[in-house]
This record gives sequence, C-alpha cells and structure tokens, in this order.
Amino acid sequence: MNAAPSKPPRGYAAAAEHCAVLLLAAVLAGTPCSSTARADGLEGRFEVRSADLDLKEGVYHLNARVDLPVSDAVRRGMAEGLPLTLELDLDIEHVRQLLPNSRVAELTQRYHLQYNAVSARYILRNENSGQQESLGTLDAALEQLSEIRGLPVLDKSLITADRRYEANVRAKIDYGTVPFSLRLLMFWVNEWHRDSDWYTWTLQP
Amino acid sequence: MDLAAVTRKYGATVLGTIGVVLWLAALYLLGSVAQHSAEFNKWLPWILLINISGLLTLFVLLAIKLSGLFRDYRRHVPGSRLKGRTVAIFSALAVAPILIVYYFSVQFLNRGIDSWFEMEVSQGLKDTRELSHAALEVRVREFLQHTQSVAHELSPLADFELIGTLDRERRESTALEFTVVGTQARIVATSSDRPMDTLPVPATDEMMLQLRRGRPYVSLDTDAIGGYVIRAAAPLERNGSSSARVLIALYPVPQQLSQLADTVQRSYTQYANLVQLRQPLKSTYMLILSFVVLMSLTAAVYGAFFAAQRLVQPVQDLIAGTRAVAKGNYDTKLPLPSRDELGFLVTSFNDMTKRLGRAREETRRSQQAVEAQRAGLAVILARLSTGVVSLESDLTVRTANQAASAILGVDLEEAVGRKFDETFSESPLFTQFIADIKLRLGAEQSDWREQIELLSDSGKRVLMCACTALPNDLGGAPGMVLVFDDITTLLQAQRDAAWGEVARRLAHEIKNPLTPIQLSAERIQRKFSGNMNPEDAQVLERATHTIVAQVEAMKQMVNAFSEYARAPDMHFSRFDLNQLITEVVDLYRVQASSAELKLELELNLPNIIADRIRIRQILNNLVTNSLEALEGRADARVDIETHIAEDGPKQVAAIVVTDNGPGFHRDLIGTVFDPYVTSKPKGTGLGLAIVKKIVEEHGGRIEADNRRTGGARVRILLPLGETARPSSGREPRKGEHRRERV
Repeated sequence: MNAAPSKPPRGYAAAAEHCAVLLLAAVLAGTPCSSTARADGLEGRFEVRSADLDLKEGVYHLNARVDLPVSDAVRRGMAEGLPLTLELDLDIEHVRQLLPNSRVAELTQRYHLQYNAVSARYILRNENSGQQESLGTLDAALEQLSEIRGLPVLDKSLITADRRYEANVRAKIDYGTVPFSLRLLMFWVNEWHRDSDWYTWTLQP
Repeated sequence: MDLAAVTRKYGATVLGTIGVVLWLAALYLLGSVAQHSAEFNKWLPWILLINISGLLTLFVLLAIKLSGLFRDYRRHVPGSRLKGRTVAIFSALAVAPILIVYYFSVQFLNRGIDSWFEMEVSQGLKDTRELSHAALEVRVREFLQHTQSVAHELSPLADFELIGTLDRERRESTALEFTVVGTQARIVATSSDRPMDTLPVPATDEMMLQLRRGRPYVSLDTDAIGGYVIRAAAPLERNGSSSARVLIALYPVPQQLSQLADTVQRSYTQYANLVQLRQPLKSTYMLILSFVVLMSLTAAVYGAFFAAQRLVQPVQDLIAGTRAVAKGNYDTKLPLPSRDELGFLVTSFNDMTKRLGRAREETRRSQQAVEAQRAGLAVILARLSTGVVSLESDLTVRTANQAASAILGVDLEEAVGRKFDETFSESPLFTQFIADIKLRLGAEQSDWREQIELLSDSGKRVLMCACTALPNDLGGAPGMVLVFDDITTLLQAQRDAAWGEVARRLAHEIKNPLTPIQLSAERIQRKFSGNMNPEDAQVLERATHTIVAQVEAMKQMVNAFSEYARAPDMHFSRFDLNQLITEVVDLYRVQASSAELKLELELNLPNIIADRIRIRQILNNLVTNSLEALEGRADARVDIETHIAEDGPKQVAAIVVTDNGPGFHRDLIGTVFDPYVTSKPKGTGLGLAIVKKIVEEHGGRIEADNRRTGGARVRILLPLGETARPSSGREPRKGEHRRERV
C-alpha cells in the first residue's frame, strides 16, 4: 500500500471562483479590513494520517485516522455551541495504462459534532445514517470523530482480481456556520474551512 | 438613418448604460451578501467579477484621463490648467463628503455590530441555560434514584428472571426502556416502550468506565428526532458487591420541557454562531463598504473629469479659436455649447471672426490691387532706361531698378537696405555720383534737377539727375527718389547730327567756290606770268601756287567733311575679318614703318557680314592714328587683336587696337569721336569721327580709352552672324558690358 498526496483537477466553477478571489485580492489588498484577520479558528495540521480498506465478509471497510486542526480557540468555540463538521471523501479508481482511470466507487461521509448546552454533552451525528452519539467530553468526541473504523464502502464483487485499483481519501472540515459568501469575501482568513490533501494508496484485491 | 448609423451613434451609450445598470445591480447584491441563501452563493463569484471588472474599468478610464491631463498639463495645452483645477475642485467636493460618510459608517459598523453582543444578552443566555439545566437536574436525579432502586431489585435475580421484572418495573414507571447488559456489553434482557425497530440503548465506554469507578451514570441526551431523554445506568449487585451486569434505563423528558430545552439550546447555538460571525461580518461589511466607497470615489473623480470637460470644452474651443485667429485662420467657427453666458461668448467670438474674415478678405483684395500696381510699377521700372533709386532720409537704399545699376556700373540690388554712400566705394564712377548727390542734398533742396558730369575710363558721362522728396502720408520715415538718365549718347548723337549738318553745309558752301578759285589762280598765273619781270613772275607763281595748294588742302578738308556727312552707301559681303586685318597690316609693314605691328587674332573667329571697304577704312584710320601717335618712339608698337565677345545677348567680333604711345589726352577722352577733335597738329579731327560713324552704320559699337600701362586703346565690336545695319538704338552702356571688358 503506497501512500502519496496528490491534487485532482478542480472544476470550472472553482476556477472562476478562484479568479474572482484573486481579482478581489488585487483590488482590495491593503484595505483596513485586512488587519481584522485573526487566528481564532482552525489551526494546525489537517491531514489524513492513515487509511486502508479491510475486507470482511465480502465487503471492504474503511479504516482511517484523521488529524484534526483543533486549537484551543476552536475548543472554546465548540464549548460555546459552534459545530464542527467533518466530511470524508473516498474515491476508488481502476488504474488503466493508456486510458484515463475509471471510477469504481465514490463515497462521501459527513459527521457533525456540536455541544448541547442544556445537556452539557457533545453530540456526534453521522449525517449519512442519522445515528448519533452522546459524549461527555470534547476530547472523547474529537477522538471519536478522528477515528473512522469499519465504514463499509465497497462490495468485493465490484473489484476484479487481476486489475489494479487506487483508493483516495480526503477530509474536509468546517468550523462554525460562517456563510460561504462571507468566507469568499474573507478569503485570506482560512480558519473556518480546510481541505486535506488526498491520501492515496493502491488497493490489491 | 440606417441601422449602422444608429448603432454607431447610440451603441456605446446603450452598452455603457447596460454595463452601469448591471454593475449597480451587482453592487446591490454584493451589499446584501450576508443575507442570501446558499443558492445565491453560486453567483457570488460572478457578482464579484462584475464588480471588480467595473472597478477596474473605472480605474483604467481614470488612469487614462489622469495621464491625458498630466500630458496636456506638461505640454501647456490650452485649457489644461483650468481643467486640472476644475477636476481637483470637483474631486475634492465629491471626495470629502464620501470620506466623511465612510469614516462614520465604519464607526457605526463597529459599534453597531458590537452592540449586538452586549454582555446582558450573553449573560441572559447563560442564565437561561443554567436554569434549564437546574430544572432538568432534579428530574435527572429522580430518575437516577429510580434506576438504582430498580437495579437493587434486579440484583438477586438470575438472567432468565430479569425480563419479567424489567417489563413490570418499566410499566410501573415512566421509563421508556430498561436494558440489562452483561460482560462485553452483551444485552441480557431488555424491555422497551419504543418502536420495535429501535435498538436498545447500548452501553457506552464512558458509561462503563464511570460505573467501574463506582460512580452512577446519568446523562441528558438528545434523541435522533430532536427530543430529550434521560439515560441512567446502575450496576446490579451480587452479594453486596457489583457484578458485571448493568441496568441501563431510558426516561423521557416531558414534551413541554423538552421543547423549552430545545429552544434554549437553539438560542444558545445561534448566539454562539452570531458571536463567531461578529468579526467576519464586521470585516465583510467594512470590505464591501470600502469597495463601494472606492468605486464611488473613482466614479466621482471620473465624473469630475466629465463635468470639467463639459465646462472647459467651450473655453478650450475659445482658446483654440483665438490661436487660430491669431494665426490668420478667420474661418474658425466654434460650436455653440449652450444658451448660457459661455454660449453668448462663443456667439460673440463667431461674430468677431466672421467680421475679421470679411475685413481680411477686403484687405486681401486691396493688397492684391496694390501688389498688382506695385508689380506693374516694378515691371515699368525694370523696363525703364532711366535709373530710379528710392532712398531713406539717411540715404539707405530702399529700391533700385536695373537701369540704375546699368548706368552707375554697379549692382544696386546689393545696396538695398544699406547706406547709399557706404557702398561700392571701389567704383570711381559711383563714388563721383554719390559725391555729387550728397553735395546737392546738403544744400537742403528737396526737389532739384541737375545735369551731372562724371569722368569714367571710357570718357565723360553725362547724367540728367532729378531728386524728389517722397510723400510721408503713411507715417513712415521720409525719403526721396532719385531719377537719372545717361544722356551721354544723346548728347553725342546731337553733336554728331550737328557736325553732320556742319560738314554737309561746308561741303556744299565751300567746295563749290574752290574750283573757280583754283582755276582762276591757275589762269592768272598762265596769263600774267609771261608779261612780268622775273621777280614779279616769281612772286605771282608763289602766290598762285599757295592759292592752289591751299585750295587743294581745303578740297581735301571739304572732301573729308563730305565723307563724314554723306549718307551710307553700304555693300555688305561675308568675309574673313582676320584676313582683312592681315592685309592692312602687311601694307603698313611694307611701308617700312619703324613701329612694330603685332597681331593676335582669334583663329575661330567666324566670317562677318559687312562692307569690306569701309571696314578696311576703319582699320586704316586706326593704324594710321596709332602710327602717327608713335612717331619718334624707338619702341613703338601697335597691337591688333581680335576675339569673340558677348554684347548683351549677342556674340560680336571684337577688334582691339592698342599702342604704347602717349594715349588720348585726358580732357579729350570723352570727345575723341567728335569731329574736329584732335591732338595732332596736322589732323583734321575727322578720322575717329568717321570710324565711329562707320562702326555705328554696321550696328557695332566703339570705345576709346587709355591703357593703365600707357597708350591708347580702341575697341570695336561688330555683330556676328547677321547683316550689319545702321545703328538706330542707343549706345550700349558700360554696365551692360562689364564682363567682356575683363
């Protein structure tokens, strides 16, 4: 299993957005607002530290470990009720020699973690299944969130034995409920959303 | 008007209007960016692009305008300074309020948004949360005690006995679910009032850890549908100590209480979100405000340019029009900007240029008429044989015609603008003329007419000169005009005519009685000489001989006069002039003259058409004159030279006879061609007069002067290539033949 970070191509809309952001930066750089940026959001390294697929009873299960960029400021914010959302993207492709890779499976798993002030408990909810879990401490909740165990992702019948496959995992994290428009306008303040690099490894059937 | 013309005229305006409307709409949408849905967010990049494009467009337009203004300012383009000042004033007027509004808006934004998060609100929410918590805490404790009580009852029971008791206890209480789990969190028994597809509440690690530490577990949790439940756990004891079995109970929270708690939780979360949004909102609003202010400033400055251009344009037009008028372009017509004061000014300017144009046209016509008159006058002056020179009061030459130059022998064109008396000092003739003129001007005479005699190398020149003061009607400096004519030839012609008449009368009145006198003297001698004594006869013979001799001399003289006065009887033929000269000179050489006769003849001299006999007579007279003048000189020498010369536009054959004798007497040099003018004791004074007459009969010209090295020189010019005709024109003047005299 070889792990190597890479960057898949982005869409046209994203390019346009990036272009707009750059133009906005060129025009408004140096305005008084630029001094208002402050680091009270996501901070630190955010990456998929490890990931693999485990075959159990004819189904591949994903096990992954994610390092979350949670600073003390984020912890305080979460204790005040701000939510933390983790999105996990899994992409399994059939690697071909001359042709572009073909996608075999694609999965997005979303987790939502938020403090309930009335019950003084952290509620971790799987947005895909609706299942939720109540945890007494933030550390327990973050540990639970960063450790993905036995997530069924692919039936073995979809995999051909003599072919080569490549699995990619990426995590996205959102902190708080800052609207996209505000994030776009304050593009230089990267404390509400992060994308990890793709974690890639070869799947041997 | 066709579609293309309409598109050209209004296309830019329509496109500009659409662009501005689109931009304002995008600006409005950007201003309310925080209030829109996620759907709106898709369009946000494009809205930003439109706004930034608009701003960049404004910046570019403004930069172009500013650079243009700066360039015009440096080049001192008319109106650029006024335009710059107007733009600066308008910009200041527009920018100052915008900046003030911006400043207070920033203050309002900071304070306004901060005011949303006053301490009272935050504290109230915290108190509400605590209150909710306290209200639920009582119920939580009751349910924990109930769970512990049930667990105590269940403790002695075996696993298979648990289900019945659990079910009974659940029915007797308000619990939703009772579940007993054993080792490895295995469910031993459960009783639930919840739907059948709902799994029993599992034992969590946290729960088991707390129980293992001997502490009861109870928690208030939310269920999947948003309500609240109380989860409690208590160990089942066996023989006074805890066993591996644990009772997990799930109690409902009353709906009203659950809703209230949910409301408190939602408010708490929303407030936390607002707190988190406080800084981004402030930054974003300030960003958008700055963006709008920047665009407003740019638009205001651009508008200032537009307004300044509208105001300054008529002034620039006026300046350009004034410069055009100053350059003489009176056709300049300025566009009428409006009906205001500037419009009145432009109308007045247009009227003024119109009147100036008319006046200039009239002036031009008058000038053309004057120029035509002046040109005509110049032609007349140029064609005049009379010299005309206009002078300033200080003798500065204004104008001079060609005849004046020819008469005075200098190029007076070079003297225009210079002092008349400071030019051509090397010319003796001109110097004498200036001296005479100054002498008369010094006598304070404004109008005078005098005959001036000048002495030149070729003899005496007589000028009839008149001076008239120029009128000073135009306010310029007073001046004078000199009009003079060379009347030397005229006087000579008058003298020639007079001498001709004298000669004719002499020939007629004297010659007739001479023959009877001679015959009578000879008869007296024949008749009386024989009858007288020898002495008387000798006296008579001497007397008659004297009479006859004197009569003969008088006959010769009368014949000479007759020759001078007779009408030309010419016999033209083409002959070689050099050959004729050689023949004549050889004749004199044969006569064993002591003088050296030297010829220098032009070999390429063409044949001339003339009366050969008369030309021979000319040569005889000239050679004879020279030889007579050289009598007694040991080094006597006569040079005869021929060459081709130019006399005006024509080619002529020049015959130059020079000697090294005493030359012409200085007093006689102007009258050597007059009859009866001679310096020789025996001369009749008709030789050169006859020569001159013959030359003029051939259409030629003759000059006589003294050589600087001593001796006389006579120069004869005979026309080449045409039959010579008797001269009827004036004698060519010295100035017209300067080149051939070199």
